[in-house]
Amino acid sequence: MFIARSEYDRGINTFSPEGRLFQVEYSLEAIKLGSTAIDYLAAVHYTTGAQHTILTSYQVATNEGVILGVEKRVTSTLLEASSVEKIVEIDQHIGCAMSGLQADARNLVEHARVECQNHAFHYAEPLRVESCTQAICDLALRFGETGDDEESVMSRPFGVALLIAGFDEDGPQLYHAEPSGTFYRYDAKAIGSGSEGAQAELQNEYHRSLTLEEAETLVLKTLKQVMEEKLDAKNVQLASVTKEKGFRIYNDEEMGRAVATLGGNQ
Amino acid sequence: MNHYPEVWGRPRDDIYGPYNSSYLQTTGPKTHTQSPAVTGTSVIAVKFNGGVAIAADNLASYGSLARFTDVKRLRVFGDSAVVGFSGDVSDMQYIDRLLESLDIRENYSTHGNMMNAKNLHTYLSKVLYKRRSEFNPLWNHILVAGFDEDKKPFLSSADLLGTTYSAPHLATGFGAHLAIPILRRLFPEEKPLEEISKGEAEAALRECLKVLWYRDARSLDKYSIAVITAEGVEIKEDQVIEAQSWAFAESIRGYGAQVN
Amino acid sequence: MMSFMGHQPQSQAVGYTFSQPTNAPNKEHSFYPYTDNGGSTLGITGADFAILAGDTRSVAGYNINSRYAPKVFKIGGDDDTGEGAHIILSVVGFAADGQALKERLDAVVKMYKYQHGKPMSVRACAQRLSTILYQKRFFPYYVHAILAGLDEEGKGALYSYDPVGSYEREQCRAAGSAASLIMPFLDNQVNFKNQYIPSSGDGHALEPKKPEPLPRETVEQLVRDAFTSAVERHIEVGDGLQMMVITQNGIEEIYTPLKKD
Repeated sequence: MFIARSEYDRGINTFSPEGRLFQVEYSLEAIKLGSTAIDYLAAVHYTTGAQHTILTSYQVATNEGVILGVEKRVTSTLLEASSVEKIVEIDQHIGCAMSGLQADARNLVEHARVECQNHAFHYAEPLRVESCTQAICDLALRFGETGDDEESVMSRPFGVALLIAGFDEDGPQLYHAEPSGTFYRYDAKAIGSGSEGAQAELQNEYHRSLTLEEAETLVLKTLKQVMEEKLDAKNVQLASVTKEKGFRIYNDEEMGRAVATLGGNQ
Repeated sequence: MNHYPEVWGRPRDDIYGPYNSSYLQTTGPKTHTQSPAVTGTSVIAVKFNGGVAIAADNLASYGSLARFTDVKRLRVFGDSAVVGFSGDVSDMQYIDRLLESLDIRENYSTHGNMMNAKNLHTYLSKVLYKRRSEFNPLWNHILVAGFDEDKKPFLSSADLLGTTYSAPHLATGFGAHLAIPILRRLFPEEKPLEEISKGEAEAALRECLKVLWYRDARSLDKYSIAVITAEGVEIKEDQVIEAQSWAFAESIRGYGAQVN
Repeated sequence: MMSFMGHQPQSQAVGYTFSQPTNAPNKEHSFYPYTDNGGSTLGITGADFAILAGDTRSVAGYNINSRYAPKVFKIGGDDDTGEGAHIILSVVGFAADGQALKERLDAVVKMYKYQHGKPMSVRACAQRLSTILYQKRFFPYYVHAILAGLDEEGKGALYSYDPVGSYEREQCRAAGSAASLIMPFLDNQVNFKNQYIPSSGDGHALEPKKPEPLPRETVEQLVRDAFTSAVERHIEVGDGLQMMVITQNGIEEIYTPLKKD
């Protein structure tokens, strides 16, 4: 795999003879490894049992949504934990968690926010979660040399992956978007360092009839297992997307409650 | 006569009115064509059973001056489409070059599907609409005759604003006033196309051109006529209006020696 | 030499403007990029349908360009015939702009389906049409557009526009050259304006008749009546009546002749 790699990893858009784009592959590494902004996160997509696609019935819909969770790696006791922002809002109904170079993520998030606002302006309706993810991936792939009439974009691939959670007419959805511009929809997905272990855990524990509380607990439990530090209300962050409240990041009180519940369950 | 030799022989304002020097201006906004210069008058066309006939005279006028008397205003495109131009002749020649390069491009990409008259009309109307939207119009009113994709007779119009419409018989310019009523009487719209023969259509156009020659001061008695059928385009560019009768002129007030 | 004339005071009353610097006003653009192609359109909604109609005459001044130039179009269909469309649009005013607008909206609706994997709702299309019109605010599409379809609940939806994108959802709307003839008729017959329940009270106590969605047959007849009347009183309206009825079963197109005079 590493043979003659250096020959083909200089140009951004140069394929190797085996058909690989090394710079893109390196950017995938940036999500898992490295020091500065690399971290781990997990997200669980939960729905209520048999009726998870029915949206018209109000009482069923209240129990549907997505939970996002991240570990905030507090590298210093002097670091203000609340300034570590790894879950952000894109629109009222869409939010995302990131892993990798956070500065790169800002570009993608900004783009997604503009797309959402543009769509609402032009069509008087919220942008679909899949369309939002597609818009992000379109930008993610716009790297390399720019033509004369193109606007200048990134000269390298974005070194960040996103977990995009949202709620639209198709119900709650979770997407994973990579720097390569590909995206997939998941029921539950973990990315970042230690994601292999976390993903295995999710695979075992996830089922389609998770409730909101159960999903919270599953996310925290999974995080706890792969975190080096002891999990507390300060070094993890949760967010939810539901039909009623849209996207919201948990405040300190809610975090405290969720972490306490986890402690009680164990 | 005054004491200023510079102005001797020059037009005096009190006699000739103030001199209009606006055309000497070099400043001010960039201007495009404000009005046509050398123009062609009516184009007339009619559909018949199995084809379309189209005609226009061979005159290019410069205002009221009959400037060029052998200008061909029917342009054959491919093997089954004809475009008839009225309006500015230089813009017609520009569109002609446009069609020439389009034709060459079409023939190079030998996919077998030559553009039909309907495609051609769509193309030309987009060119005209684009130019009007840039405030730089191509000062023409054109008729496109031929066949559509189902091999049915096709006749449609497009003007300098990009307005398009089609009907069984169409005419531009004066023809819209003088030829259309004749054609509508000869071939009522409710009459099926199958009942109109090629000969009838052609004869009707010649008759209309005669009326136009009588009453349109910017017309000519030499004209071109094209008949498009499944067999191809049959175009005659040196036709003369025959069997003229100017007897009616006697009754016109102000004509000839009769002054009032 | 000419400048000598410019500053030398003239003792005589005789003037020589040719020698003066050019200060004549700029020539005005004589090209006017619009024309009025006449005609009228009309839309009415019911509980589970919407109707858009327009006459098929196209005029230029006192000339009739064509007796069959449709003004009502299917938007976002799968092919040239408009099969599979669920939105209809009527445009009246400057026909070339109407054509351009219709083609643009059609492309937008098709692209929307590719990009978002679902058909565009009438509400979304209505907002998009508004932004399309408004984006050309300073060189407007000189048309009065009416958009129709069925809303999320399956009820008839009708949106009417001014040339620069101001829009409103309504029960009925007439547009075009005979709008001022047809609209009052519609106010009375669809929204029951100036209709009161007989002997329901005296003076101000007289109870107005409440408007309610009309059945399809009634609406179709109202449309025909509106146009046959407009034809009598407006020279730009006539030749043919094109009607499109949109229901949950699709779009039905009906053509009936009008007077050709």
